[in-house]
Amino acid sequence: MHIVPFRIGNVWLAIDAGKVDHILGKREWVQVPSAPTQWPGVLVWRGRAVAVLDLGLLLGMSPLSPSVSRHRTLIASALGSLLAIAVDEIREAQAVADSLLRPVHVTQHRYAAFELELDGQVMSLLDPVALVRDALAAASSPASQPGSSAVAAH
Amino acid sequence: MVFAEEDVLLALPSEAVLRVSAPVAAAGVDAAVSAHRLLLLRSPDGQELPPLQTHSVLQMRTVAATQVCPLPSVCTTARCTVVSVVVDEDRVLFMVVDPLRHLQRQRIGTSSQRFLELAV
Repeated sequence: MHIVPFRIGNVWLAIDAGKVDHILGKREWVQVPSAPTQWPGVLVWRGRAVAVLDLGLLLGMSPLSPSVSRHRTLIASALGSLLAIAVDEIREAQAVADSLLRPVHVTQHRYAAFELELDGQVMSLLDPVALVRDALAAASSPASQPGSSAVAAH
Repeated sequence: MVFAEEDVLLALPSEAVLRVSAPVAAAGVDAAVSAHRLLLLRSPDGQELPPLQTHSVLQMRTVAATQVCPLPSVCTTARCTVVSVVVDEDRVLFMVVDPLRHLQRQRIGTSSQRFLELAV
């Protein structure tokens, strides 16, 4: 498979190149009031509102802020949804043998079932499908519907 | 009808706005500082709703249907009142809220503030 390595802070991850729609530079985004913390806002791409994923937050970093941008934006797709991931660095797509993928051991990220080693760097293979599936499930749960007494927890 | 709330530009569909009250100043406070307007709203079936209060400057904007995008599903929560995003080329112009949900949220916020004030 082909993977695209990317870095947020000092953490390297990878994503299936087949899930990557486009790679952009720094992009302005706006905060959506009361949006989930890991999906704090949207940006515009090709006339569409694309949800911004704060992957850094899931990695234990400080929350994204519209006033503080990262250098690159990775537009990915999963389950019919587009997501924008603000990252610090992106490397060229690389072909890796499936045999190089192994269950996570060194890295431990909620949305990564596999990891691989590239150029001496162990990185998790991000699963955008699981990310979006969880988010859609939370958004459509009874607790997340307007008028319900509980607020959806993320 | 576009208005600002907590540094974010929001909007109500014009068909939901019955009328806008004149600026109202709080008693004993400079009108230039505290003036607020009441947006008198109606539900989709024409029922008059309680007024929505805003301290913001109001602006009527007309946009093309192609500029209106649905809010991505992953961004929705029980408290989120935004339903769509109005865009222009590569930026967000403002976000459209559901009038009834926004009204409910404002009333909950006001009730919570009153409770906190009483507790203090």
